[in-house]
Amino acid sequence: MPDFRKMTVQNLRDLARKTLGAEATRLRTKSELIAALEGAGGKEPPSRTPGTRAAQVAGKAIRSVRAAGKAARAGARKAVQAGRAVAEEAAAGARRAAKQAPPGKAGRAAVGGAVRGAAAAAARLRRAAEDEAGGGDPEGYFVARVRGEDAVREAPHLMTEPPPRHTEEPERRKDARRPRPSGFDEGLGDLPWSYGDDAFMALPRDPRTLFLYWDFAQPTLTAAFGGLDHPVSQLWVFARAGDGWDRVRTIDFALEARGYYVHELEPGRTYRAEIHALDRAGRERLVGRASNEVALPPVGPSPVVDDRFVRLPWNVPLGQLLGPGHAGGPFSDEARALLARMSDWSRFGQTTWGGSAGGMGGRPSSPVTAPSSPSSPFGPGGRRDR
Amino acid sequence: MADVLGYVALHLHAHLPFVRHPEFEDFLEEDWLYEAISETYLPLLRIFDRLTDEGVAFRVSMTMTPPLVSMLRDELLMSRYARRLDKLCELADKEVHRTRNDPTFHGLALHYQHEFRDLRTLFNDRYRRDLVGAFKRVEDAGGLEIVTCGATHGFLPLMQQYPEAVRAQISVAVTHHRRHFGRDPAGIWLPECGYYPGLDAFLAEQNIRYFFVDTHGITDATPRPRYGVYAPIYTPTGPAAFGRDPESSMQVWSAESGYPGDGDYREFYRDVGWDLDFDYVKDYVQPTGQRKNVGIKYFRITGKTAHKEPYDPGRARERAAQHAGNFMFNRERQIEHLSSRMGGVRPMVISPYDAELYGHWWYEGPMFIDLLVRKVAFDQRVFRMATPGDYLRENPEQQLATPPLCSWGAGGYAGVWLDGSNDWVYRHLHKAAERMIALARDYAAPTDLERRALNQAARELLLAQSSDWAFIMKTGTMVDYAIRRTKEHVLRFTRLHDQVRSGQIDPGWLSHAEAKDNLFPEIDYRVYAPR
Repeated sequence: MPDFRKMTVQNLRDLARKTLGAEATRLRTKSELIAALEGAGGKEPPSRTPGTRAAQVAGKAIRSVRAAGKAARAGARKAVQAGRAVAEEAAAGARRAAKQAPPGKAGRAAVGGAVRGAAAAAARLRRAAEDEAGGGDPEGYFVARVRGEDAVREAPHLMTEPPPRHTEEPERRKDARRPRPSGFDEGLGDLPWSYGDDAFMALPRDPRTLFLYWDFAQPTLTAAFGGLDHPVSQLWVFARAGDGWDRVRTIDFALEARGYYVHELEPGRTYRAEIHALDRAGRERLVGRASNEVALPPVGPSPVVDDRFVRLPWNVPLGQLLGPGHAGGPFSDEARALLARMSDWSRFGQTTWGGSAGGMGGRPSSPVTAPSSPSSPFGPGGRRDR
Repeated sequence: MADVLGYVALHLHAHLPFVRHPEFEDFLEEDWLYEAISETYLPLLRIFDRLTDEGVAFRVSMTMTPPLVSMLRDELLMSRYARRLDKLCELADKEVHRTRNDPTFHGLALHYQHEFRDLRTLFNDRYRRDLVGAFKRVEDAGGLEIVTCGATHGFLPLMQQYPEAVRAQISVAVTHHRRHFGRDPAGIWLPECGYYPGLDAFLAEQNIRYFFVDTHGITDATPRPRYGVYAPIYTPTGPAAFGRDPESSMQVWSAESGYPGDGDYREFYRDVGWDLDFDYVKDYVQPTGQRKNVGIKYFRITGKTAHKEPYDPGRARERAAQHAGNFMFNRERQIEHLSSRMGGVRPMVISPYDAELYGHWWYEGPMFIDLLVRKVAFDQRVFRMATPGDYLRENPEQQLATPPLCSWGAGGYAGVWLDGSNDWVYRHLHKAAERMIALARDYAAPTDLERRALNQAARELLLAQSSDWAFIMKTGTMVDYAIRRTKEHVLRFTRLHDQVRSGQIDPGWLSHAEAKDNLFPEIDYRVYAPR
């Protein structure tokens, strides 16, 4: 039995809710919680009557399933199943013990109470263990939307699932969602590993981060790498400069990664990328074709101040590019600066809930949570400028 | 009230991903809809109707996304919700009995019993299970301006390499909106407020007059907007961009001082579905034995402590009234200050929120809106509640500027939907979009069966593009489900593509897919045809 006195009140309360159900809501102090928990699972029996044997079995069930719960939290579904088996076996043991109880009203009542307690406690703990091991509370979706990613990890109920699995669903959920007999087995299979269409796509993630993915056909790879001496792959990133392009980044990387985040680019510029095969002899070939062009957003107020206004009556349909508009007339720099300050989140200096609708307070000018590209041999930034 | 100094726009973005599983008797993720109906949509309708009936003038804008509208108009889901409401009433009755000798909680049990019975009457009798029709009537009566969203809430900045796919998200949504609300949408809530330069052209094609961006979508626009977020800007093709006001947002969203965190308000997590004995609540949680919230909560937030005091509805109502008054007071001062600096231009303060914040997370949220609307109508003369459409009708001259790529997600750009946890989806989504565009180009005169298959392919692609799946993968909540949905829709699309291309369409399976993913019955796949 754990030393309840070393546990926090919150942990005791959580445990009590799982162990005692509704009764736990009446327990207010730490001593009340400890007494109730000890009473539920850990108190040594005063004597060895059939009734108290049942209580002992109940305690064993509680301890067994508690252990299973711990294992389940670590992600061991097998342990949960074992816990369930132990719990059910223990409850059955309690019933068997009850059958051996001596006749008499008091004995039957004691045994009956112990059996009910054992079964209920076992069931509660079994489910607690399953909850902890299995899927998260569906409320996680809402909590993430209104309070953000961090909130789902701090919630009192489990609201997250194990890391993404691109394979089959867990068996428990499969069982829970077994189609009715009329269900139509679609046999959809899984997504293809490759479409082999030489796709090379650049996507804008944030002002300083570009994401690239590629999917080259084998003949394309053969054409690029064939005949080269110990070739390596290089990613060349270009930024538009006037009518031309500047190569702003050259990165050695693993082509097999199929995707790459290019960090610390200059905001507000248009980029494209190429993948090249290079060998020891200095020979170099373009792999497939260049990516699409994509613009990263600028950060901060525009340096362009040109107040042009246009009038669009509500009853006039849209559908064509507007003209240049007319000048907006004088406007004081002081008023402009004040309105800019009032539009700035950072003046509040508070953290905000950060769900999909979360506040922008503390928005970093350079996002610090951009993912790394694990294929890079040069660390999370993956860069090696030339 | 023409002489007001400015305007405040309260915008509620109501959205849920399309979750409908006729193949299962119970499906956990369908709860999102049922809980939002009980705790947000019905309570909002109740206050809007009451305000209308009492002649209280109000103007609120609201998104009703196409997936949400489709689910709210789905017979299967509404019959399941009616059953759910019956069970909730049954549980409330049991709670009244269980707490009969408990003076602390019995009054609360009666509160829930009354509440759920009222919701049941509203749902079945007053609204005849048609909440979309009910919202439409509020719009017809002049209280609401309902706008649309991307057809399936697809995050458009990561779709920009496929303009036909972007156009389809907009066009299908507009057609759907007309069908259900009988009018063109005046505006659109871009999914996740995701904008990129050039997107406005697709909105202009549909005569969509405005959209919303997060604050930096205005402050970082080019040229620099003169009035910050307190006036909209016209994008190059005409749709106006309205930017979120940080000050009013902060009053609700602040982690430290936001209204919903007040100690007198109801605690979200302490639900009897988790607190009571399993055997007692087992008929009201998942058949799998997984506990979940059932909607009866007896405790208030109390403070940043595990110890929670019993909830007191009367006390919470008083607090909501205080907060509504505080919100109004701050807007008055804000607008007085702004209008003194804007050279005669009347400022517009935009306060957008997820609708489900009101009621589902913040139980007293609908009450707050009710009280705010009444106070604004009767207790002040500084500003008027207005929709963005109202503002543009009265103020047709605005500055020209282009917002940058932006969103309202954490970080402000595309990082939530393009991350190590979810970036794998784009290879498949883009391939499917490319194939759909090619199909629309190549099948100008299809047979009836081909047309059905092509329309279903368009539905499957749209469903796969929902930003919710990538969001869930990123936040780590119902990850398995989000992965499964992405895969299933892409795989159904791919099978339809292959069957159309090979001339071997399986009518039985096609019927199955049509029955399962049954939104947008009016869709025309030719919306994907290149122009």
